[in-house]
Amino acid sequence: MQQVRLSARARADVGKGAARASRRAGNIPAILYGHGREPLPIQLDSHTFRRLVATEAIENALISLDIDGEQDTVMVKEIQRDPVSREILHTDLLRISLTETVTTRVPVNLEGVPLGVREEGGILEFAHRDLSLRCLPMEIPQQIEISVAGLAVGDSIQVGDIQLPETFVSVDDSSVMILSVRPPLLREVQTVEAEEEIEGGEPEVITRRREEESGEEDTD
Amino acid sequence: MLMPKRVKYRKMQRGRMRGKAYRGSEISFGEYGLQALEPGWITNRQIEAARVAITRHVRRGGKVWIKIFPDKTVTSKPAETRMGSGKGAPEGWVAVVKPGRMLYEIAGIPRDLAEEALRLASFKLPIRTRVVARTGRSA
Repeated sequence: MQQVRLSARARADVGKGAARASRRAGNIPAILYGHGREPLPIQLDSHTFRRLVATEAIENALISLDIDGEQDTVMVKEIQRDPVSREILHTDLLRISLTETVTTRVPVNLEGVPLGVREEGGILEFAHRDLSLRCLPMEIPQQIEISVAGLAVGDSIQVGDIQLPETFVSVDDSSVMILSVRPPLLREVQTVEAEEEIEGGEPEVITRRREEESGEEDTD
Repeated sequence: MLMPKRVKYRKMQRGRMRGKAYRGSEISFGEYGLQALEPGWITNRQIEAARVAITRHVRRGGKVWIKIFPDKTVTSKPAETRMGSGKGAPEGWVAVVKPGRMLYEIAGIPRDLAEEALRLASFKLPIRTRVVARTGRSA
């Protein structure tokens, strides 16, 4: 479990104008909420937070947050980024208690290469790349290890197949698929399908059919 | 080629392409993706040409997701026609793409093969793109 320290300042103004001004001043606007208390708009130092995100596994890290001298234990709930520049625009922080369980998503890590991929040319396909777990904040694992070396083509791993320590409760249904090994796709089949689709023509126009049914003329 | 099965109206207004694509800008299914850096209309022929470029380069294995769909009609008037007399006839289908939009995703193949396949696909498209790799949940 990663534990990091971070300082923040309360933000008096909210809204996009104030958020933009905060970004211009070298900060990242953020919101702190949870644990039955009022949401608190705050701002984090942009340079410090970006370095933290780049170097630490921030997703499930416990953060000792210092807000103008007041201490809180928080986790990162969401990081919003600019889709093009990837700059961090806003962060959601969730207040937590070290004695109460939290629900979080933990990434799965694969051990080995599946037999079906290694020898039969199959494709390993993820349905989910993380598991939803409920546990105490201090016990959140960095990742869940799954051994996939023995999987042949057609085999799959579901949430129920994963052995979890007793202190973890899986939130997902046991039948939810995590990954499967699919048979290799033949390119020839795809190409033929694509050529058939070219002959498709124009799509059906819904409004024209309705007009014809009601006896009106088509105005197109 | 990709096009809607049924539509409500045959012709559309052109619209604007301001801003960035906040939705559909993350890698959702695969491990690598081709991301748009400019706004533009991408025709169903271009989408298909890029898909073929990817599958030809990958040859075996891997899975490709096309994350855009051409659901907008474009019309054009016949050549040497005087202006007026209403809007032209539907000529094709385009997907409206804004900067940040993930266009293709690919999984199940090594990094260098995926990057090269997506680079070859980018030459079939009318906009600048970049190849991106999956990062953590928050990224």
